[in-house]
Amino acid sequence: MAKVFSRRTVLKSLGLAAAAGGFNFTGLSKLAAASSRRYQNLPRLVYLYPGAPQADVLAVQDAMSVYMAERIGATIELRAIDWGAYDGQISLINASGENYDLGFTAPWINNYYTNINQEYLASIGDMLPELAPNYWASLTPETWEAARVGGGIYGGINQQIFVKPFGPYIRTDIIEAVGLADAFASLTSYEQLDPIMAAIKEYADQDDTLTHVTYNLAQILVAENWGFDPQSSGLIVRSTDESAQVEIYSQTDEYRQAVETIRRWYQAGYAPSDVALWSEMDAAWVAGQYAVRVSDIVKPGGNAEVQARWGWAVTSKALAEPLLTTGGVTATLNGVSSVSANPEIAVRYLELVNSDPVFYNLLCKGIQGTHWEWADEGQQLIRPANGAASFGDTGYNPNTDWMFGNVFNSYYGDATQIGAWPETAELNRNARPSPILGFTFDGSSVETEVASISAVTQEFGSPLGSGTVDTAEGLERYNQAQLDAGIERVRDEMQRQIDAWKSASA
Amino acid sequence: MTYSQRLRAQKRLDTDSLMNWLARFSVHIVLILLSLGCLLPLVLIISASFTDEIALTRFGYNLIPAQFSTTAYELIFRNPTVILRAYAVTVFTTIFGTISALALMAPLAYALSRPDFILRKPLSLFVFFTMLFSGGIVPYYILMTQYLRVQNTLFALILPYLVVVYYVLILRTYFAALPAELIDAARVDGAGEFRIFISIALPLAKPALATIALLTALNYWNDWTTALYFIRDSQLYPLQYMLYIIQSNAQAMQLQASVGNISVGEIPTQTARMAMAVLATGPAALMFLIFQRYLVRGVTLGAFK
Amino acid sequence: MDTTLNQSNRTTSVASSERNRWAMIRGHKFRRNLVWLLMSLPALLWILVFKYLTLFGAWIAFTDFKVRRGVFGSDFVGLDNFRFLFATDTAVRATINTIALNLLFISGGVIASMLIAWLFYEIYTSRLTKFYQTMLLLPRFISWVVVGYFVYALLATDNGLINMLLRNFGLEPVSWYNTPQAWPLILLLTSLWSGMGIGSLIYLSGMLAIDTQLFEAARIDGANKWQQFIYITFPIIMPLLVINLLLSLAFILNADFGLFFQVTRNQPLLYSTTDVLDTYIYRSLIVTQNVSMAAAAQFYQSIVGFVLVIFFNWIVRRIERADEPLALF
Repeated sequence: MAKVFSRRTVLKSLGLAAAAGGFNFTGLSKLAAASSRRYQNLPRLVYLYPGAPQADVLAVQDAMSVYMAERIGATIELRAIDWGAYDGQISLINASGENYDLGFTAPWINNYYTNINQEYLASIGDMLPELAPNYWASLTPETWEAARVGGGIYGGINQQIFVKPFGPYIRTDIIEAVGLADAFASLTSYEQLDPIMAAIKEYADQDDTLTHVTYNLAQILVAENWGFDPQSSGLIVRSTDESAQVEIYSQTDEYRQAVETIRRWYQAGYAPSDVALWSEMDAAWVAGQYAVRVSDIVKPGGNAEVQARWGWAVTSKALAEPLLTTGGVTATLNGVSSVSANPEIAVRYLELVNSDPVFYNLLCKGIQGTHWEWADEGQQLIRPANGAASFGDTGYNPNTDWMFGNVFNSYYGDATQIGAWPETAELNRNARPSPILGFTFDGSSVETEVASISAVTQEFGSPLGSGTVDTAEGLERYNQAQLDAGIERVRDEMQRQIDAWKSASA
Repeated sequence: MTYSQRLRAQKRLDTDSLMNWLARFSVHIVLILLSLGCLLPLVLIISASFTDEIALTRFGYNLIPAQFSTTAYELIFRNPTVILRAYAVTVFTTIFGTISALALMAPLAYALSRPDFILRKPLSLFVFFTMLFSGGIVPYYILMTQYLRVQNTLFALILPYLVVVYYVLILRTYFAALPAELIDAARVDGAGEFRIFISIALPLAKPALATIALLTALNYWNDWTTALYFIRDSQLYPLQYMLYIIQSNAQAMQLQASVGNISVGEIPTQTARMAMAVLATGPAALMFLIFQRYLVRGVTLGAFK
Repeated sequence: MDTTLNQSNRTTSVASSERNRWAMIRGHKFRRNLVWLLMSLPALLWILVFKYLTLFGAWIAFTDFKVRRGVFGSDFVGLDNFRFLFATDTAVRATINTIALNLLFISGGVIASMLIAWLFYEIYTSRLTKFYQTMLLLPRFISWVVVGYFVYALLATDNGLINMLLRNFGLEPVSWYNTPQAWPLILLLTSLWSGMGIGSLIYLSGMLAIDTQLFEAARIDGANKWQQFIYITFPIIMPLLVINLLLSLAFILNADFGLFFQVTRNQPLLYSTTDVLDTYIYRSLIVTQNVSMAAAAQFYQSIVGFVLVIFFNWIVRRIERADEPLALF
């Protein structure tokens, strides 16, 4: 597994290997040297994950190593890679067969499915029940099925909110200014937002800071809004359909309705005529320029989070029914590299980080007394240690609990969050599982079509999502373009795979 | 007389007509307008970098900041040693890289320009064929990390731009246009080829060399993808890459900001991006001013016979 | 007999000195060529290692590349990876757009660069030259992302500078980001703004090598500025021009991704005139992340450029004069 390319092919032309010296990874050896010397003989796990550099990471690493050494006989090396570099660097690390043990993977970064396809991740499904019993039991078997691809489980699921109950968010001050807070609280569909938006528009015309009602209308096109389980390339399966028939999203009635709503809103002038980039929408929200986020995930503690992130107090209403989908469950995972020399120990690390709150919070929050201290131990509430103004000033604050393990074990950072975890776990438990929970589409036989569809979706789908074209015309063009790109072939292939999967698991 | 003095004397000899003066004047006007067109965006960017983040969203880009603020620079310079080290790395690789690149490319270009070089045609084909094809990133990465083993060293930053075939082409053209009489004369005097190259060809080619030096320096200065692939040690991050990292981390932090953690508005992403553009451009422009002098000097030495 | 002897002696001595002279010349020639070869060696070595050794990666385009299996261990799939480049109308349109826009940029760029270089040359003694050159080079240092923001500040429908000017003059504001027809021009201007500094510099350095006596002679003969340009300057910088044109042909299917993606802010409504091969490939592969298909796309761009360059280089070779080599090889 060490060398990727046959040496012969390269060395035949020129004896080049002699040219270089033996340049080593100087920086990494520094990191290793600093760690606890007492446990030098124990195997060392290398954990790669994205994150901004933390000043005290070595101290935390040492503390974790001490804890781990006593329990699973190994130490750890935390190697955070800067956010902008993670995707690129880890794919190169994987491609060259460089050694590491654990790596953060997800469908949206260091793509979980690509990694499996390229055989970069080790299959751990068999080891989990034995070496990580508590972790294994913490999630239902159906949930674990979601991470199964082609018969094997290749990553440890981080438990957090799995479902995506989408719904609108509105700034509290605005909704009260127009006196429609009750109407908002009793919302049952997006169409009912119309009178509220109209009222806000009137208000905005008089106000200086508020320039538009809302920004990104396309948010309501997220398939979970309508009870659909989205698969790749614009195909969906209805959550109510036990026979799991694959449909083309843009051909459903719900899609047409949504697009018409968007068009209505756009023509009424609720959104700016230039579609802006996401980062500017955030900046505009912070600046107070708009009042409504038409669709975002509504969860326990969500209002407080949005307020902390973007500055304005908000209320929200979930409109979509919570649905458990493969995509939702596999949102964040930690995988074991296929070149790891100690996969069993890596799995035992996963057990530790996912079921031991003390260890988990060591990684997430830092060392007790140095970075955090109890504000109310009974309620699992903490505050920055030694009178620091915020967690960001303490020297260790990666703030990515969802990356490291079971979020429900994380200590609360603010009083308003207390109780959020049990509530969210309840939400997960009561959610309706999709008929194809656990199924993953293998697109390798239709890759050309998938690529073509991806290209045309943006071109013809986006105008529909921003409301800038006439719906009937736009829909027809979009559907035709998808047909030309071969969407029916992909659908048939997907249906075939689903049927096979169903009969195999029956 | 120097070239410029000669030229000025010549121009004075011309019938100093109104047309002539008008022509020069209009040339200046055109160039001034163009220069303003190039300068204006930079002024806007500098001004934006000193603007408060929220004011920037509300009032857009202006010549003078709507609301003055240095938050963006504070974010970047939160850890000054980090930035200064990045500057040092970039300056070193740029200077060392440019000199090495010239030392490699100029002799090749000169040799290829000699009509009586036996290997001229085959070597030209060998060299210029590579402009049309590339093996892609994967074999390049394998070459650098597994065979050359230069990852995480300064070599990784310098090696990729040592030879740019397009520049070799330009230099070759320039060398080919040098007057053959000078070279023949030197040969008759008994000078060796290398001596001819050093003492005759190089000085005559100063304008082209200065141009290529500038372009190469720009390559090194602006490069950030090489660090992305090969540098893990933050002590070796070059400037552009460091700025990119700071910004992407800031953006990620903003996405993760949650209760009790980081307060909103503390992370100026838009203005930080502008500040980075300023920090990256300023020194490069200064560099050019320095090279400018050599361009002029080259002309005075080279064109005057 | 004496004469014959003397003659033969003379012939021998002549022959031997001839031979010696030839030996000297050949020796010199050999040494000369050796020196030249040695001078070129470092650069040649670099090219061999960095360009030729990595060429085998081009084979990836024809395989279903699985990295751990290596380039030659992966399954061969023929031309499958290339299909997505021709499968839909959009794909073909991307190729057409790329060629058309590149031709526009090349011609616009060459004309603008040469004109500006000429302007510089005319006022070269002025103290302001240094200032102008620095100014013109500044845009090169600004990344396309920032340029994108800046262009947005100009062209935004609501508060953009251009629309505000239009409103001031009582004209209707234009929704620029919804008008695909305007964008070839907008992109051309942006590309010129960014590139004319370097472009003019290259032509200027060529112009500076021209012997000023030629201009004096021409002036005496009564030629005006324009004629001087056509008959003196232009022919001398012709080699540079030919190189640039040939090279542009080599990259006819390549486009500056930053320019087309960031400046247009990836607006789908503008795709009909601004979608080029590189952006199309990006959109297609961002979902599948298929290395083989990406390699196929790169191969496609290279091979077309390669064929074009070989062809046009051959044409140039046929029309050039023997003492003034213009062709690349």
